[in-house]
Amino acid sequence: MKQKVLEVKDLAISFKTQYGILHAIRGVSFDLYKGETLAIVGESGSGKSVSAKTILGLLAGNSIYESGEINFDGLDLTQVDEEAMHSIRGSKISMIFQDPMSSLNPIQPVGKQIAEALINKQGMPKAMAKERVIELLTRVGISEPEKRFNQYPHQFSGGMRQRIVIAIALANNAEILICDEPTTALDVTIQGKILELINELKLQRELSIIFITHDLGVVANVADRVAVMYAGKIVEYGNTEEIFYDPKHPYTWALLSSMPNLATSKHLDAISGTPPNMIFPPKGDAFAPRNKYAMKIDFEEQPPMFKVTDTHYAATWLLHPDAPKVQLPEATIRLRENRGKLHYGK
Amino acid sequence: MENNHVIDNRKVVLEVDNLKKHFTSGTGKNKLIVPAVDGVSFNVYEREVFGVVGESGCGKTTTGRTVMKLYSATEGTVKLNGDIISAGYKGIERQIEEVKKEAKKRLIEVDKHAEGVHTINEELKYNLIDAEYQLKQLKAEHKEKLKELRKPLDDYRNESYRIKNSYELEVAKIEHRYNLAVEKVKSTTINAVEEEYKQEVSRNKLGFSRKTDGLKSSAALEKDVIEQRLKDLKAHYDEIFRELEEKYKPLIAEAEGKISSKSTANHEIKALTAEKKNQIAAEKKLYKDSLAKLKKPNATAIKKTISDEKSKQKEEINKSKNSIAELKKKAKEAVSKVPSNNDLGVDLAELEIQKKEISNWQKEEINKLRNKITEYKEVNKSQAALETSRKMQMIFQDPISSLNPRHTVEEIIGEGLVIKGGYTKDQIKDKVAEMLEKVGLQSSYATRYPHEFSGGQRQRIGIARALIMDPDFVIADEPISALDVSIRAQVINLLHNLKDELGLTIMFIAHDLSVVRFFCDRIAVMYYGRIVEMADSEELFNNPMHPYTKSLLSAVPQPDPDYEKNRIKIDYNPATAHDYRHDMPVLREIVPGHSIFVNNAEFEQIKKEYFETTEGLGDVQ
Repeated sequence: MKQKVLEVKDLAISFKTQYGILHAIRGVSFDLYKGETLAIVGESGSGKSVSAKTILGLLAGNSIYESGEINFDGLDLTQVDEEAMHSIRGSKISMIFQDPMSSLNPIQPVGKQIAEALINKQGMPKAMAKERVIELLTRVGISEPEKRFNQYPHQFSGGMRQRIVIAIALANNAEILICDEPTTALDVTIQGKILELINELKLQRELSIIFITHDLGVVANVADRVAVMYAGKIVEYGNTEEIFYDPKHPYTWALLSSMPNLATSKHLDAISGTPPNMIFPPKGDAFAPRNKYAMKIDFEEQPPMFKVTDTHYAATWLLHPDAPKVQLPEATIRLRENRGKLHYGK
Repeated sequence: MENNHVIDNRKVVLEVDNLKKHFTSGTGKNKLIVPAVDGVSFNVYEREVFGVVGESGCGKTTTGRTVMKLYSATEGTVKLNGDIISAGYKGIERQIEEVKKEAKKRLIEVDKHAEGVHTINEELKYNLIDAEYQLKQLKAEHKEKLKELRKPLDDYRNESYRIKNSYELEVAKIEHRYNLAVEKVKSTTINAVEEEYKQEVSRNKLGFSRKTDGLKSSAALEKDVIEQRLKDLKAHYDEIFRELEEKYKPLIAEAEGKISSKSTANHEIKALTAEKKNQIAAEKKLYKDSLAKLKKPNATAIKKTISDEKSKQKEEINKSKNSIAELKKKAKEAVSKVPSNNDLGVDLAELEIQKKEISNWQKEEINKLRNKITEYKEVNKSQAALETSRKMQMIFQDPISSLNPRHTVEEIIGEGLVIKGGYTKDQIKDKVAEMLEKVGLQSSYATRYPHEFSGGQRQRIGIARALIMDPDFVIADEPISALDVSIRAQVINLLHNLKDELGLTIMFIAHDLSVVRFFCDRIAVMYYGRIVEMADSEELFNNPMHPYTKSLLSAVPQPDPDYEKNRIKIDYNPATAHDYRHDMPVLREIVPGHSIFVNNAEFEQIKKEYFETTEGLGDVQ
């Protein structure tokens, strides 16, 4: 049995805005096991970043905690005070943000910024910290660490900067690493290298990773399990293979077919319409208005989580025993048929 | 390959020839020239989608903007529908300089002929170059030698630094461990419950004093009311304090038995301190020992040898310099000793004619080039080019910053028509409404402002703004990069439909390879300002030939876990992948419709590989 390191139960968070209460996440539950990567996929506004920020207690001042628990290390992270949170943040749970330039201080040498994490959290003496920083820099693949130690962020390229951010996040041997779209701002070739590094560190340190992204290609690369979010709820979750080769929720189908891949023919199955306004969350299934397969009940009642296998769950009325059988979209069928064969060149 | 012949017969809409755009910054020593686009040539045929891909900084956006005349080109020409619309003349200025240089060279040649001594001069020249080279060699050798001599001193210094550093580090570690241990011992002497009790009491006292202060300074209440309330407050807090005492007293007493006495703790700390001192002393001894072990070199002796060596070297260099000076003098004498032309029997008149011819040639060439510059300058400003370039429009990347937030949608979309002139207000209104419906928005949206729309809708407005001018050719600069996943497909499908409906030709600039493959007919891959590979979409993705393209394609993540977990990545490093010292690469066609940026050797190599791998796959000439 795998060891559970983090448990999120029925979490709901809202924000006070000038137009009314915005329901950012509405009852999200997931577990994170030791040494696995959980990918959270969804479009912007689906609540994936809010879930991550709640875990670290980084929400903005206008947030309202509605319900739920986040269990970590015998504590409920929604209830602990700032001081206790401070001892967890950065030393037990770390986060990497999307833009590496804005998460580094432009007027401080990078070595100092990494050493800061060690000195402030562990009270390590300076000389010792420097030695450890150089070790860390080597670990994340930066050559000539002694020279790089005294350089400033602007002297690094985008990919190198993201490596520095990763070094800061891992300085205190965190158990959980939250990556909020860490490669979205990078070029494809650099993206590949950063993903390689994250995968390697995961294996080496038995890290548990929550990986937030909207790029399904990246998910296929890093994830062990996937949670698909839409309008503040997890609509489907399961092992990576299950989500890609046997998706059950119409939103997952739509996501997979709206991105062109090698198996796509000349027409893209676009998802019509836009995501709902979360100040007025819809009564039934939030995806129903954009869903080709929507039934009458979808507009009236929210579907519960139906169990597909022991590890695979989906919230759609299509899995109800009384639901009609539907024809799967072409793209998902093609993906399953060409399993493992989708790549460019010879 | 039939497909390509068909393309060749199609009408060329855009013709870009050797386009260059160099950005300059700074002056003098700090002058920096960034060749963002460095000699790009391509044709875009009617009704096709031409994709330009590459990583950030490869010059794809700069290419688009230079074609669009948002940047003025450094060199090269852009033709739309056969008419030249923009041309760079900086390169021609360079050509003029070259002509001048060439003419000068030829004149010297004639003069030399007259002198008839260039053979002697040549020999002297070679000797001089030789001597100078030898001097340089000598200097380098001397430097090496000095370094060699100084080495023992440097070694000693470095080694002693290293020993000192490691000693300090060890001491810091010991101190750190000691501090942690002392903290731990100290914490056993403190009664945690008592601390908590004290904190509770002081917190409540603070609350009490704040509340009484607030009541006393209250202006709204009567005096007797205030007094009554103060009394109540006091009673309330007294109760609290009593409760706290009741709750904590037994707990404190219970905890008291468990903690260790101060004297034991002091004793322990003393032991720790002694241990620390011992450890530090041991470290110090080790440090001193290893420092003593280090053999100190004889500094005075070494310094002496160095100064000897230096004076010896000075002599040698002086000698070499003298010989150079002598050679120079000889060369000068040789020139001054030129025999007069009459002695050599050269016809002076004929030489004069030759000189005249050269200067005439120079004048003619320069005039030609100058005329070209004026012509290009005229073209860039001309009304005709402006009229032609109206047939070319652009869709921008960022749907938020590319729309003026203070204009209504109607003003934004209709602006092009207003600038063009010749439309009444009602006509513009009708056209805007028609356009809005064409891009999938309601015509009633015309009176709204950009902030009232979502990202996808704004991009539709951007598309409508480009299309209202009825263009033949549209440059779409990353139109979907800033959009959400689910919206991207909508915008791509819209562009696809509009292309068929309006017969558009599109230049599609993007970094997302899967979208490019899906949407474009032909693709150019750019790398550092150059096109490295250009081919039909299917051909490029099935048969990538340039190492950069291969590496780029291998890096694209696919939504296919089985493939992703076993991905083989190809790295590309231009420094090791190519050998361009003798043979510069150019863009050349390897099979019809498929060009790569290679030199001769690579061309042969790739061609051989290509025909080996495609053998038996079909009919390939």
